[in-house]
Amino acid sequence: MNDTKGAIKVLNELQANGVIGKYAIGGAVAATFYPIEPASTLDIDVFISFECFAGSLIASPGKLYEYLIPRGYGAFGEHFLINGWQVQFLPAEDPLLSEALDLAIQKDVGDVKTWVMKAEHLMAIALRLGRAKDLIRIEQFVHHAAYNPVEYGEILNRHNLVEKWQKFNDKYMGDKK
Amino acid sequence: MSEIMEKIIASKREQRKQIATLPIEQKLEIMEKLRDRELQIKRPATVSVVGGTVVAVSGVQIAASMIPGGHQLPDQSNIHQISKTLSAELRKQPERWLIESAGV
Repeated sequence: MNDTKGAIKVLNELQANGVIGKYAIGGAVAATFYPIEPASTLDIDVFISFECFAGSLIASPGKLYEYLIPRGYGAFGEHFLINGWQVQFLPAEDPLLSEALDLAIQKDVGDVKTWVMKAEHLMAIALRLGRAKDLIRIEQFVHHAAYNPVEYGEILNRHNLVEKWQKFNDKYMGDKK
Repeated sequence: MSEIMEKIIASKREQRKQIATLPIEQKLEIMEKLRDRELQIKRPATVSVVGGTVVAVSGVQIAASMIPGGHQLPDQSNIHQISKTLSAELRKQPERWLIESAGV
């Protein structure tokens, strides 16, 4: 837990020092904050405001490099190496990601606070991505009833994902619907 | 479904529930162990070279393993140092490097 807690402390430092604005952890690490099984991943996906990185699909390393490299953190490809984690900073560049960032909730890891996307947004993003690991994550949320179906339904409606959800249900969920 | 199968499925369901409801601190420890195990599995490395200098590699462990004695480097070795060393190796023995790269 110390690796993750340490990485989160660095994220909070970045925020406190104005390198990034509000952030929200997404992906597998965020999902672990909800009552589903932990999954194997190498990355921590950190979503940040798109304005910080206008014109770039992947978060521009500029200010992040300036802050992190002198402090001994490594970087390669699209990732920074922070406390054993490959941390990827991603712009919340579309309405779904932007909403997920805005409505992210605060969670505690011991005495450290962090921002994590809501379960319903994690599910909607996973549904949209549609990779095998994403679909497994959705099944976990459904299996453990670890989400609010009403809120999830509203998100699906807002972001035109209802049809995709129906297909997912028909194909994978059977009697778990 | 046989009674034994039903018991097995119920047991698996209970096991999933127990893991899912562990405190976040314990679940993050599990994630870190899973991550470390995945990092130890050898995967093909992608190495980008510009003008004889290694500019990008995928996987710190893989990159480190290309350096003589590099497998002993700690997990969080500085990737810039590794890239620098790889570049030096490349310049010394380009043929050897290519063979080793292809074999990883």
